Amino acid sequence: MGSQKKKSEKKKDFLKPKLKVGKTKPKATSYTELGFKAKAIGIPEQSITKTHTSRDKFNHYVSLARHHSHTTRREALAYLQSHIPEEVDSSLFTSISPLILDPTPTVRAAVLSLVHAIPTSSFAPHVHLISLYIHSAMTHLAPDIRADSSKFLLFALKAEDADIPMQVVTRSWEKTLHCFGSLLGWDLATTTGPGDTVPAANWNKVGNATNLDRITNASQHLDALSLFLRLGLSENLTPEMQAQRQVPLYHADTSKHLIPRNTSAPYARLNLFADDKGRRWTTISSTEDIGARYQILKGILPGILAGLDSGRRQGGEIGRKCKHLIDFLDKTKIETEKLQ
Amino acid sequence: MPKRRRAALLPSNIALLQNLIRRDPGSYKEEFLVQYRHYATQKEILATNPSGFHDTEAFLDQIGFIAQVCTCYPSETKEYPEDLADLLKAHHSVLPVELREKIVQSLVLLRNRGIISSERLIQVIFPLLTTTNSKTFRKDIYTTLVRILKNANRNTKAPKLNRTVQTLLFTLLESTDGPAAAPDGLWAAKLARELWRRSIWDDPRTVEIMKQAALHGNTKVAIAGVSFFLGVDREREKAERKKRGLADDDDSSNASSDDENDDKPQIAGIKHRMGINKKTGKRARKLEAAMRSLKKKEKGASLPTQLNFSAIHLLHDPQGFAERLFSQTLSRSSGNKFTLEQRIQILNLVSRLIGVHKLSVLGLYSYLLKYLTPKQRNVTQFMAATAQASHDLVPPDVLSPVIRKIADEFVSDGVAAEVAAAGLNTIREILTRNPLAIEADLLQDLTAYKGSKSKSVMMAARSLIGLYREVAPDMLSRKDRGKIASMEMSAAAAAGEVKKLRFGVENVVEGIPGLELLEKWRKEQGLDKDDEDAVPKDAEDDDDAWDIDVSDSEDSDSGWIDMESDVEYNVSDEEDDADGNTDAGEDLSDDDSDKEQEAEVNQPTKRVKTEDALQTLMATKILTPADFQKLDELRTKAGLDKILHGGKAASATTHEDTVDATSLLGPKSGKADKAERLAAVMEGRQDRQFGPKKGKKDSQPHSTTNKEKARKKNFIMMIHKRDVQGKSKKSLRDKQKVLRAHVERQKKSKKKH
Repeated sequence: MGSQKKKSEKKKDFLKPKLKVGKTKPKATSYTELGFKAKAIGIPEQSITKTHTSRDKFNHYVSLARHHSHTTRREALAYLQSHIPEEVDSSLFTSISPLILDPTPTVRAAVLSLVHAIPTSSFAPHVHLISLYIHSAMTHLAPDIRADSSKFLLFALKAEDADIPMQVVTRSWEKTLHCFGSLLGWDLATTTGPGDTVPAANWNKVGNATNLDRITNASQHLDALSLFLRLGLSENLTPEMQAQRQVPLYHADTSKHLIPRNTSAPYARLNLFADDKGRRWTTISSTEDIGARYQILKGILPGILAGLDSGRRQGGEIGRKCKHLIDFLDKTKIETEKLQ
Repeated sequence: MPKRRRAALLPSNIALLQNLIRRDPGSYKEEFLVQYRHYATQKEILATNPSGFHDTEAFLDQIGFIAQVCTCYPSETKEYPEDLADLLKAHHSVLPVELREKIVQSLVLLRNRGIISSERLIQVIFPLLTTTNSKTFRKDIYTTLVRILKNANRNTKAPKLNRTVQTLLFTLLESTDGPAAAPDGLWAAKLARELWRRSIWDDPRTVEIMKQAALHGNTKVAIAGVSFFLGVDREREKAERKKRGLADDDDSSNASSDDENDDKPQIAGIKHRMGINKKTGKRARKLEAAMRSLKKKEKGASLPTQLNFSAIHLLHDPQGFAERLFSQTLSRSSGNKFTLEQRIQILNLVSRLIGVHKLSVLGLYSYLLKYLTPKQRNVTQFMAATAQASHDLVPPDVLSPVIRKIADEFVSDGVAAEVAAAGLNTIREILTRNPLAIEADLLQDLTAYKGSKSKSVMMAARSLIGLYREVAPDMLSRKDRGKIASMEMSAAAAAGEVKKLRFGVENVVEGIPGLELLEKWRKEQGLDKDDEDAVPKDAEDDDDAWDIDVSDSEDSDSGWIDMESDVEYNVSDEEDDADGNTDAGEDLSDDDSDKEQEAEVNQPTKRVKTEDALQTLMATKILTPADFQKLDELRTKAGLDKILHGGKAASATTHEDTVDATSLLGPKSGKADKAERLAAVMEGRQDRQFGPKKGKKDSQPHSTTNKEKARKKNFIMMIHKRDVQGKSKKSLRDKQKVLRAHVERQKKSKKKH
């Protein structure tokens, strides 16, 4: 019977094994074989000899700049700032430029200080990419990101390498102006008559909640706008051009006929590879000289002037800045029309 | 400034903003522009660096939002559709999946809103079908395309759109053709086939597309094209029938017939419940709805069938198509890039084309010779193709080697019975279509198999005899001719007009077969006696005349033929006809039963009389459906009488019929083997449930069972009952009994599991 067998099996478990002289000790039932035979042991991705170079570490932190935690992002940026190598490659720029749109203010501040620390010579080829993100920040839905956008723009416009502001001005003149329109709440698309006033409520939208903030933001935006307009509309501002003019051997306008130095895409303004020409937001309009830039500005000038006028009426710091800018624009208008 | 709700001012609350914009676009223009500008800058970042774009979700929302409110600000967003199209075109391979889907969705939405045309949308998304690597995306695009076309063709056909898409398909097929043919053209074939199946496209241009596909350099595309011609019309019919909710003839579509069956008990059940339960408005409405749906279904069933030409009939230049198909794919020069199955499929199509359009592709027959041996794999398919490819305009000297080969290889003493039967059946099929393709000697050799022990061989040989008794009895040996055929032959010989089959002479039908019978019947009934009298009477009964008299036809359907009828006498007269007696009535009955014999009307007087009869009836009377019904009846009567006398009518095969490869094997003899029996059993078991129904019942929605009720009954209600009280008062023995029984039950249930 089956039960008999079961019984005997059960009994066996409780019997004490007899040890015999000269025989090896029987192994316990719970014994596990630990020995193994192998010709080689492969341990993937665990090199004992490998040392972490500073370059690897840098790349690691570059990737951490996209981390989901904002503290990690900030710390990564701080590390990058303190370990900037001689040659900065494009991966750094592609990973930090989206952080211009970062929702956390501290991260944005860290990015700003990082870009200040990067040598401007390596910065130049990536101006176009960064300016795209600056534009996005200027039109962003979050007010604080919008408010910080001018800081980045000012940085780009004030850069030591004269090529950088010129790239911004020549390659994205029209688009930047439109972005200013949305940043300052001016209606640039529809031309208003000179007598119309832009509602004062528009100024309230600029910047954050507190009054003080609003004023500082607005003044910063106006600073950026004024610098941008001055760079774009006055002849002799870039030091490089001035330097070249002083060389007597060449013709005065030689610089205009030279291939622009230090740019990643010197002929991008010609728009050779775009499929569809004549679209406002996508084309890089050719604004190589002041005349062309003024032509573009002329279309939206009434809107800008109306906005500035309403700012002037506010008085205070903003009013003063607005007034300076209006004066400048009037002067340019007279000068340019005299030329034509 | 108007008061606004606080939440609307939050730029992130896109849903609310969308709602507000819908109501009042003018006031919220500024808010919209903020969104739109942000979208524009984001889009530019995306276009510069699509793989490094991270802010996908917000961008998705914005795309959807702008697409929704686009109609409110047409001038501001006029670039929007093209922007999306550009994004999709340039970056579809690197865009995140959900973003890609959203862009397609938005484009479809824009089309629905009428901002872009269907043509433009198709031009944007169609190229992605072949260029994308993603399977799911491809499927999405495909379904979108089908949906667009279906909606566009819903009420009336949209010829412009159809032509655009057809041109796209053409160019796709053309561009991928050539020495290094790509399988991209498969999508063109697939799309065209799907649209044909749904009867969205049914024009010759579609057929041309599939023709192009069938001649494509790529094997897959070519086979897709070929199988379209072979199977799509049946598919279309099936789909149509399903759409109408009709019961299908085919077994494969059980679903529709099930629906039908479900309906009747449903109504019966509702009526039953109405009788028992309280009458409420809701229940009455339910019954009404059920009745309405049933009525609708019945109405759909009685709708006239739409006239659809099959794809093969709509072909332009079938001769060129068949020749190219044969030379490109089948002949030796093309190389063997097709497998045997594929070659059979192509061969099937070529032979079908030849049969339907009566083409002459003479190379095919010598090509087939190679494959017609019993050892060849799938030889029945080749034989079926041979039969399909023969028609009466193929020169007999081209076909006779084929028949000779089949006779030599298949029909000899050394081969198995079923091989011989298959050979004989094939020969019969070929000869039905082209009776001249065999010499009398060979035919007589073959008919000698009528005495074979194997039933299938014997039947095949007999059918061959039956065929030639009608077509050309003089080619048969004397014994095989049969009574009627030999009598007719001798009558013809006596009249000095020996009928001989000739190549290229076609039978022409001159009138409605059996019309004379009707005329005679009418005379007997006294309907035609006086035309002037008849006319007003007809005018009175006009409505009756058009309707088929049901009771009348039911009477005649009893299956018994009145032996006293005039037709009977006429047939008996026919035997006297050998003497040369002519009788108008006889000749009429003769004419209707046999089309072939109609050609050999041997006496001029007869012909005149027939024509007279036709003249009188056809010229003077408009035939009503009731007349045709009567005509049918009379014809079957006459036909039956002929059969009684031993003349077996050959099945009227036309050159358009397909030949089923399995039918060539003849009737199956002997018991079914185990596999077949098993298959039959399994077929019977389909849709039936076996095993315990306990678990299944629980899973279905049902009311509470008594057991459940008892289990859930309130404890207080039960506590004083005897069932509960008695438990504690039980004697020890009873308790033990109950316990034992419980243990036993447990054991049993365990054993089961």
